[in-house]
Amino acid sequence: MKRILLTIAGALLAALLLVLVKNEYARLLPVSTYGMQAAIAQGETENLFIGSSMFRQGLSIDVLEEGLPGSSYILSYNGNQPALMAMELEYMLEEGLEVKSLYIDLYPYTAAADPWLSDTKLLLDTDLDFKLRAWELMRRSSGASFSDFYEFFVTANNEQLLTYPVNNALVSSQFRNGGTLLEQAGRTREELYALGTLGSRDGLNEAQVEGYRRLAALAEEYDLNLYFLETPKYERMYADEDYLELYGLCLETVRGLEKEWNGKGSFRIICAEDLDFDSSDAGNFQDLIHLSAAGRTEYTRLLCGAVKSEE
Amino acid sequence: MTSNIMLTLAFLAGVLAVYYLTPRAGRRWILLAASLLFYLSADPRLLLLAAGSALWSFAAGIGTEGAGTRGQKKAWLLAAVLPVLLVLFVLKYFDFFAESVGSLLAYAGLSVSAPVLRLALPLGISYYTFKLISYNADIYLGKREAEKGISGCGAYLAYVLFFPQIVSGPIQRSEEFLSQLHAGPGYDSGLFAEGMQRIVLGLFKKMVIANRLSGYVDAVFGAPESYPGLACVLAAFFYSFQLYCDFSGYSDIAVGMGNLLGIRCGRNFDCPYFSRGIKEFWSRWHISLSSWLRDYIYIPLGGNRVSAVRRGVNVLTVFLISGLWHGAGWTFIIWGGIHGVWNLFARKKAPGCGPVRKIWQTLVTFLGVTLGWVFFRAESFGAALTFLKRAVTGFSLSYLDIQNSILPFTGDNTCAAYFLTACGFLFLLFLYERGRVYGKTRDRGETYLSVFWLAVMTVSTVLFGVFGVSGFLYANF
Repeated sequence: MKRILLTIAGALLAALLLVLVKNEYARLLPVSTYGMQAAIAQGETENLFIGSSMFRQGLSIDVLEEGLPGSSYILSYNGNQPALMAMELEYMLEEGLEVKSLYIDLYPYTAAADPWLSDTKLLLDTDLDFKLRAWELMRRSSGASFSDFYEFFVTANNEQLLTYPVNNALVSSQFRNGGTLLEQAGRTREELYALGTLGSRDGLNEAQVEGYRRLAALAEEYDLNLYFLETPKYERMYADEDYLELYGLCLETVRGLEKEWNGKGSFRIICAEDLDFDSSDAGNFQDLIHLSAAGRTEYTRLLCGAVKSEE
Repeated sequence: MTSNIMLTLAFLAGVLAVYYLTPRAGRRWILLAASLLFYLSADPRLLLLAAGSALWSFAAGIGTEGAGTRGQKKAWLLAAVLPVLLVLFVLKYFDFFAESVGSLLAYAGLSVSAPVLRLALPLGISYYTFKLISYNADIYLGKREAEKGISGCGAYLAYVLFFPQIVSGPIQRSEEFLSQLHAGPGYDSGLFAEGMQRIVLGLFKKMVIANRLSGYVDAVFGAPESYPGLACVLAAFFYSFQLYCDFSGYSDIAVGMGNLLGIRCGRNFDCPYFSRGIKEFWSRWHISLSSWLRDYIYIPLGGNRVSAVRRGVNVLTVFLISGLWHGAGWTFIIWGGIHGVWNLFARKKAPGCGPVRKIWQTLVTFLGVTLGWVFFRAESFGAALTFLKRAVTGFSLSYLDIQNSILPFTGDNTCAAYFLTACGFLFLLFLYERGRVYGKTRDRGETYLSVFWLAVMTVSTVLFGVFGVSGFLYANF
């Protein structure tokens, strides 16, 4: 009986220790080709793009490196929200990353959502303090439960860490400077119209609006050029009243920030409609909101042109 | 609570505190109260049915014992068994038979709309019905005395509704359980330690392996045409392990919980995938059910002491009933039929043979059992055939197919990590069970876990347990 109890207690203690080590030090594992640690390891990047899967699927790293001056890095996490983007930017700047221009994903649905960390890869890239702050944000605003807490701190990413040598090599080969190297094919009009809509939301979330404010404040503090980018959506989205309403609220929020802008750098909002991108061409899309490889190349080319025309 | 093992364990912790503070003689009442509360939390309305069935069985047991002639005893036995079988039939099988008859008539050109009841199935009905039948049958056969009086009634209700066993068994025999309860189960540190080891082993199997594989299996069995043949082959093997780890994991936890309460119960699984033949498999898989079917169906039908033809019919009958017990559907009957026919032609393997032959026999048995599980898991016979066809005709080992076969684990670029982790844990389980079957640990008691395995399984459950999946596969049967 004593043997059993001591072994179980010892094993639980070892598990607790492993959890603490993971949450603080997993970020120190050799960096891959995507995520925050890889960006920090570069030391500096001229153009830093922070966003959700819209940026991962919507921006071509090859075209950015050709079309924009200096180096570019795309930091994207699935479902990345403004509140978390602000925390990520602050973390990277404090870790010494030097940036000249900052590009933020303007996706209305993430701005309307309750604060939530959807992509646990973010937890692999950050220290315990970041995680505690992110957890506090989620708990306060979204009523996260004990099982969420357990997943967040204990079980998240364990599979990736256990298989790190294989997993890191496999996943890293799919990215360069945060940009995806995978070639996703486009769809047909029929396929895109067969997809369900993304539902409605009740206005913007206050924590996310605060995230936009914080991003602008950090850009001012570090003398960055600040761009808000709306990646193209399929034409069906622009006929969706819920989407348009949220889109309008988002624009209103960032335009308010533009009016209050006191930074040394420039402030610009570039929406898909400002570019000559064909949102009715189904071949440019993987689904209603994500671009295909062809759409990504075309959009990034147009975006680089728009950024350069301003300069 | 009934579908969440962590909540069940928390409930057990509360029960244990009250249980061991109560004098021995009163502990049966604590068990009964805890079991009623547990059932109430899942199924308040159908608790009346379960408790009512148990009370009727209890009364009929006294009637059987008190009957003067064999005919009267038989009448009491029928009076005890037929109502509970009728309830089981109406609640679990009526819709299936009605729909099957309707389909048959439609096939013959007759348009008859079959009545469908769609009644809720009481928690653990298949398990407690078999407990009730074996109790009354044992009294009829003179194997045990009937429980009597308020105390006996309380003990019998606690046996039938015993909360660790009500969800997924094992189907423990009344004699074994009630003799311990009447003696007044006390604290036994050895048994308590055994229980803790069983719970750790069960949690490892259920949380780390079964729950991890369930998403993959559900995705591929749900739409086999959308995946390469390799994914179907993997899903079939993964389902074999998922089902085993889910069910034997729950059995280990249930027996372990009983051990913590001072109740001993025999093992329900004994490393079945190391069997070298189908007969051996059935002596290692769901032991409490297969021994029940042997004692209460196969032997009363004549067992081995009849002609070869009659024996064949008996074997087939037992396996068809076993299939039907698992679920009201043709896939279960076909699965039972496959095992019945296989058993019919199988011979007991000679114990002394070389290692290569042993490995070969084990592999063949495992492959055959896995093939049977495809019918067991599929929604319909047609779906099982579609699945198997896809596994054969769509099979290739191209890079793209390998990639797409791993993808269902998570659907994103972390799938390789999840796939490798699942394979790693299956390998760990293989090493552990190989030690149990062929190693030295077999002699150290059926629950012995070395410090190494206890530590590995505890750490793995904490760090790699998949806690979001609730319920147990065998709770559906």
